Amino acid sequence: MQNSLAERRKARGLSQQALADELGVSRQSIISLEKGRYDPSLPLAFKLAAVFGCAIEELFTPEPE
Amino acid sequence: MPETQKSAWGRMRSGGGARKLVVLSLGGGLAAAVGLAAAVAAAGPSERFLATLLVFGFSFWMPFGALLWLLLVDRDTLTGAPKNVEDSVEFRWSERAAAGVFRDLLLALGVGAAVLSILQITTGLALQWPLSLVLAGVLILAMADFGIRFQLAKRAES
Repeated sequence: MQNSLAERRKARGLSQQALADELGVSRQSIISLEKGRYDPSLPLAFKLAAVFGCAIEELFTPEPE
Repeated sequence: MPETQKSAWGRMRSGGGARKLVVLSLGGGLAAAVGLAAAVAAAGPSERFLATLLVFGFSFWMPFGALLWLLLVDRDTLTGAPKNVEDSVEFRWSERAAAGVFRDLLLALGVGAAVLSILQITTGLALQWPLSLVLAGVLILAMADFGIRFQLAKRAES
C-alpha cells in the first residue's frame, strides 16, 4: 500500500523514533510502513491518522491493480 | 504522573529496582539450577555426583535465570520496548514465522510418520530411538525453522 507517511512526518519535524514512541511501536515498524512494506492494522492506521490530523484514506492509497 | 524509570534490564513488576531484579533472577536461577542438578546427580553414579552437579548446575543457571527475569520484569520499564507490541512489524514477522513452523511441523511429522509406517510394514524396519532425543531434535529443528523464517520475513519487509 502506498502512503504519504514519510512526507507528513518530515513536515511535522518528527524523527522516525519520535513517531514510533508516540504510536507505541518499534522504529522498524515506521521504516517498513514508510517503505510501503508493512500494511498497518486498522487500530494503528487510526492512530496514524489521529497523529497527522487527517483521514486514513488521505494517508494510505491502495496499489493500482 | 511521573514518567516510568526505564533501563536495559527493566524494573520489577512488584516495584523493585533493576539491581534487585538482576540479583533475584540470577540468585533464583542458580538455586533452581542447583536443585535440579542435585536431583539429576543423585540419580546417577555417586562417583560422578560432583561433576554432574557442576555441569548440570552451570548449564541450567542462565536459562533458569532468564526465565525468572522474564517472569519478574515489568516490560514497560525496558528501554526501547514498544508499548503496543502487536502493532509492531516484528510481531507480524513472528506470527508469520510461527504459522510457517506449524505448517512445516505438520508436514514433516505427517510425512515422517507415513514413511516410517510403510517402511515398517514393507521392510520390517523398526526404529527404536529414545523419545526424549526425538522430541529434543524436533524442538531444535522447529526453533531453527522459526529463526530462518523470521529473518526471511525481516529481509523482505524491512
